[in-house]
Amino acid sequence: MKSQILVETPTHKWIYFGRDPEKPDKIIDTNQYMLVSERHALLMDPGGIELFAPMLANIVKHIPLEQLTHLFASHQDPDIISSLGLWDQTLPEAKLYSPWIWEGFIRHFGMNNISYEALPDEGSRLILDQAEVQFIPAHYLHASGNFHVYDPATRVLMSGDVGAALEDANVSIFVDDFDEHVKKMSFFHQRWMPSNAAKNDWIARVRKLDIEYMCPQHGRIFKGKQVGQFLDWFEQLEVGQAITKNSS
Amino acid sequence: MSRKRTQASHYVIAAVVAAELNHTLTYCKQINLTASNAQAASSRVGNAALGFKALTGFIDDLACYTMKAATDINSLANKASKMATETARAATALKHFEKAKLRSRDAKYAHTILPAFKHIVNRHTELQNAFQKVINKMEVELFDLKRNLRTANILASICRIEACRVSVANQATFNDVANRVDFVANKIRQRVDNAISLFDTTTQNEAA
Repeated sequence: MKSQILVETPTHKWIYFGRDPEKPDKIIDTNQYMLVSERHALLMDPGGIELFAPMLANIVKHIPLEQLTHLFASHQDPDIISSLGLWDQTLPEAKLYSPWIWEGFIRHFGMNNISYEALPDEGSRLILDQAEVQFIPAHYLHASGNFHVYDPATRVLMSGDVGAALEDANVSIFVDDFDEHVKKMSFFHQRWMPSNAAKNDWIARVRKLDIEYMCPQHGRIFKGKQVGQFLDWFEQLEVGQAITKNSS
Repeated sequence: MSRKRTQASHYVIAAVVAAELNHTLTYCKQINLTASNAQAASSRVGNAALGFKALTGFIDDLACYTMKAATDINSLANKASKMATETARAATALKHFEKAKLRSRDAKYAHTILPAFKHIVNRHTELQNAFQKVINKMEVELFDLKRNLRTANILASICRIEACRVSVANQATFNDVANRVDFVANKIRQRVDNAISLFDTTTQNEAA
């Protein structure tokens, strides 16, 4: 599994994890992100059960395990958080931040020790030492309760499934050619995103944020002007394709 | 009895034992009913059936004992099933942790995994031991139940002897009670044997 520092400030840094060459073929490739502050760390969308071992092995390349105190699950999908039962036995004192509507569902993955910090629909903030992140509502993108994580200091938006692409697991972690990359994103967004209204509402809110890195959970990271390009492209895209197909 | 078995096979054992003993409970109710009917019949017959009347109390006791034993074993089976899930979870965690330990050999903070790893190893061992205890207890109780069911055959035989002491007209009723006790006890024994054989089959499979 690759892991690399994405951006670093005097108070905290973002680390990327993904592109595990030993990942079983038939499971979707995922990106994981970790914000590391002075004494704490927040692991975002920790991944599925199959990813637990490589994640754990890579995390301790960067921080001692006891520094990992916070987890975040953007929504309830297995590729996001089915490893919870294992993290629960590893980090019994940790806190999991996730949409309130999924608590009863996520607990099915096995959660006896970690405490569930239910995120209200309107979002909230989390302070980790000198760093402060915002949980940005992204409901219906794609899950009915869904959040992204925005860090104003580093200008990173962890955008969950928004910006995801379906492609080989061994490609670059950054978007190089945006137009080429669109081909790998279109189907995912049209099929997995159910609501044009939710999409446009999210775009309007995200346009107001200052973003340098937009980091999806699948595919590649958008940098600089690619973020604006993505928002423009996403805005004109009709989503909820399966409904359109069935009703036509 | 202290043979080690795999966790996966125990899921199956616990579930099937619970199902077999559930059937047993229904049969116990049938014995209870038979004992009540026999008591009513012996009252009608009068003094000639006094010996028989005493037997119905024993039949009732046997039914109550069997029902309690089956309920206790059933609850052990349910407990075992839950423990098997927990143990399997701990075993999975252990497997993933071993992988992580191996892959993090050269990591700067690899040693920080060790306390969590140790905790999981200990928990897994504790769960395995506790689980083994429950399974062993369940097996012992099944054998006890089977042994006590022999009493049913003795009671049925005595019922037949007592039937000879009453008039021909009432003999059929008392013989019917004896046959009923025999039949239901055999049914229960079959279920208990099925449950016991699960332990044997698993052991043979593991030996193979």
